[in-house]
Amino acid sequence: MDVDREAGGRTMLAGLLHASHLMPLDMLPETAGEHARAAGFTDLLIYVTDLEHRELHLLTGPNGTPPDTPRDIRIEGTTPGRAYQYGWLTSSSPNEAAGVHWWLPIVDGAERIGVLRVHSVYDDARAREDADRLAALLALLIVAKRTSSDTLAKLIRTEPLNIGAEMAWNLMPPATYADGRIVISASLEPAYRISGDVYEYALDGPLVHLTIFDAMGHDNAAGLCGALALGACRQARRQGADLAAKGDAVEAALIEQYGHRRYATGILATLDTRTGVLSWVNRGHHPPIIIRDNRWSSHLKCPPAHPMGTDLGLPSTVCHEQLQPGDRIVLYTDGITEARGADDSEFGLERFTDFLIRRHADGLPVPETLRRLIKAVLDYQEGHLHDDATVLMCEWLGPTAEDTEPAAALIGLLGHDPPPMSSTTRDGSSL
Amino acid sequence: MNSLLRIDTADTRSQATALTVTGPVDLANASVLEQTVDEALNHHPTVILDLTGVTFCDSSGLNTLIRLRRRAQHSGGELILAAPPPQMMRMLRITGADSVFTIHGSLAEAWQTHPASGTPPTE
Repeated sequence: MDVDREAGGRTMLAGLLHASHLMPLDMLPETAGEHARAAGFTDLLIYVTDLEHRELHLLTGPNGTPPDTPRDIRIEGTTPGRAYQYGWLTSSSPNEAAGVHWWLPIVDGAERIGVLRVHSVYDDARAREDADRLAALLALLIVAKRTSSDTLAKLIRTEPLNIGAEMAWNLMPPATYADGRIVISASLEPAYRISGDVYEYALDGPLVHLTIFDAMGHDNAAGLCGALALGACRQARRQGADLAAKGDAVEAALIEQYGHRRYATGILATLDTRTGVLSWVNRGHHPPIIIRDNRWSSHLKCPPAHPMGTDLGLPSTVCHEQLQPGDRIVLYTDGITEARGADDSEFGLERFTDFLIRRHADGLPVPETLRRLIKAVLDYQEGHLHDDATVLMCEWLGPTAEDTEPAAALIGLLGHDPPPMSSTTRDGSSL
Repeated sequence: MNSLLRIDTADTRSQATALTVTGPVDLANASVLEQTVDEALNHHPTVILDLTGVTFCDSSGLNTLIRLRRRAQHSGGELILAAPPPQMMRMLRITGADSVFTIHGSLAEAWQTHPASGTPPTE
């Protein structure tokens, strides 16, 4: 019997993998549903999260929405939402049929894509493992096909994007990345109206490059300026430029294009994961913050060179900081700290760092911490941001890429126990 | 021009003129500052801006100041900032611009350092 089950799981994965080569994303739910039967799964649904990580949205095929199926599910306070937030499997028992309904996070690497729901006739470890693998394969397939899918692009928005947002989301790497050495997570709001903020991280052997830019203005021109800055930065780096030269290259590109009429501020940083030494150049931007031990934070001091594009002639200083394993580097733009509340007071640096420290102490996955931070900033501004608010956070775990346990726990990868902060138990009693 | 930004001439002494700037120096209003100061620089090499009344300055405002500073230097003069409010001062400091601008705590102090008969500094 177990041999059959093992073969069933393999048949499911192999069949879906084979079918995936020549398949538009729209056909994924139906095709996955067909192949999943081999492993004893029925009623398969795929939900993807929107740009602001507020809701989960049903990916439908040519046949539309199945009967009695919600198209949109809130992330806060729902069983599927808990699977998404905490990265663990949640379950619920259907009223009539035998078996169990499972909700599993769909995660690509460290990036949360959405959730998978299946009905499983078996309720055991073997079936859970099959479901995990199915979710992992779905994540890879969705990510492989999303850059060419308007279906997905339209599904993950709840309002129209401005031109800046259409550009920026295609320039930036996914919001989360992790391996044994580091966990990176980023957030940019308002997700639908981006004008000039842009973040980047890039893995380069043992080095991790971290960049944040804030181009002046709040219009399409600001978005273009941010895109140009990022392009110039990447070009220079991939041709071997160091941090200071990278900033100079951005400045040169902006001056050539705009002739001193536009500028961008930013931080250009590189973390050497072998040693934990962070090196950075400040181009007229808010200094990076280091958070250590869930209680201590420091604003790194480094004389700023002028904003890129202003040509003020200040020298670039490369500064260095020795990190300890577990330290988090936080780069941010002023839309976070200068968000204004009803009484016109600012969200402020202290509230910002306090929030990060507290949520981390709660044991929340890093991406979930940022999701809640943005929500807190939005709530503070009563739902309306006046400026782009961007955070790029990188935690250095140590020099070894192979030991992935700590990273997996930090991003909430399936298979890890629920965080101790929560009194929430796994839903249902069927596990 | 329908702008929230008001610019008045406070004082003119020979080579230098002082303007008081009142209101927001931001994307919507920075062009008013640019035009007015540009015009003033046509007649006076040195322009002092009394920024006491600035309610808000954004990146567009800062960029306008940086451009006007460059413009003044090109014609052998100087753009001097007096009494930038805390938010503006913070922005000048974060961007490093505080180390290239001549900044005084008050208009009176600016006049003391740049006497009435002051001739434009040579580069």
